[in-house]
Amino acid sequence: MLKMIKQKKGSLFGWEELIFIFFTLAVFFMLILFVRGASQLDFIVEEKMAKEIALVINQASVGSSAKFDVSELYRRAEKNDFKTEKFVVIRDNNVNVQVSGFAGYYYPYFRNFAIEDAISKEIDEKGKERVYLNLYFAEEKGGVEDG
Amino acid sequence: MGRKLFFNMGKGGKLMTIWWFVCLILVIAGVVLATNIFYSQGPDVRGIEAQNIGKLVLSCYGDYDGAFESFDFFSECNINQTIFENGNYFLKLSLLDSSDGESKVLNEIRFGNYALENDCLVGEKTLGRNFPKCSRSEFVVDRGKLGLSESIEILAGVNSKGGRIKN
Repeated sequence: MLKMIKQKKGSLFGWEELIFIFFTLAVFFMLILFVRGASQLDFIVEEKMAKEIALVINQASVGSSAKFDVSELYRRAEKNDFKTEKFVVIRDNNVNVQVSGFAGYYYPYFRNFAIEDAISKEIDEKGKERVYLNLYFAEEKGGVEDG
Repeated sequence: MGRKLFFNMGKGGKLMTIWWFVCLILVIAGVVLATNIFYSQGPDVRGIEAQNIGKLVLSCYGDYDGAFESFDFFSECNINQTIFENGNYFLKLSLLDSSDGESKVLNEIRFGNYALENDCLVGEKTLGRNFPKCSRSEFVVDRGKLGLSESIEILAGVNSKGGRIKN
């Protein structure tokens, strides 16, 4: 067995084998980075957040409120030089989430609320700034919404 | 040197042959393709939405003080009728009689896109992504205002799809 992996006297691996091993490891490391990076793309985060907000709105009741941690979206919008006050827009029974000028994601909700939204910033216990989206389901809309 | 490195690794045997590169490219292509397919689907929340509609109806119907057949899901549960009837949502309420141990349907009311009812039946037996996700549940609703309990079956179907915002 030892003979099989011995290239020269006194060395287990030759430089060719080392290049082969490092090259293979590098390729698989890059693949792992690619898969990890793919899950962090803007359009995936936008879709996830739009659906999450729409689900909560559909379950809400009049007079209640909801608070979402949108720090990640805010950070991405800032990084992409996108208007940070418009990264989450709730309008015409759609939740629109957009963190870049390229394209955003919308997801519909079916409840008939007049939704007031506000962005607030708080410092968490680790001293890090967190950005929250606060939704208030304060009053009902009268009849069927237009648009 | 290059030829030796890539096609013949000396006495130890051939490691970095053209076939090894072909295998590597196939593995890379497979991973990239699988990743793209997986993430292009997005999280599917239609099943959760269907369950949530069921819970919502249960809550609204419990507070409702009228007859079953005149229950208006849209006004009682604060639902936007235009959105619900745009083709992506369906709700069927069945009033059941379980007095003799066997459930019999006494009355039924439907809301939304009626075509989704059949799609729900097909979707339960197939894995097609374009079929709606449905939730079927049976409850005994305690209607406090009327002082009676009713057994109802709720079938909710959702085929709502979001999309990319076009700039």
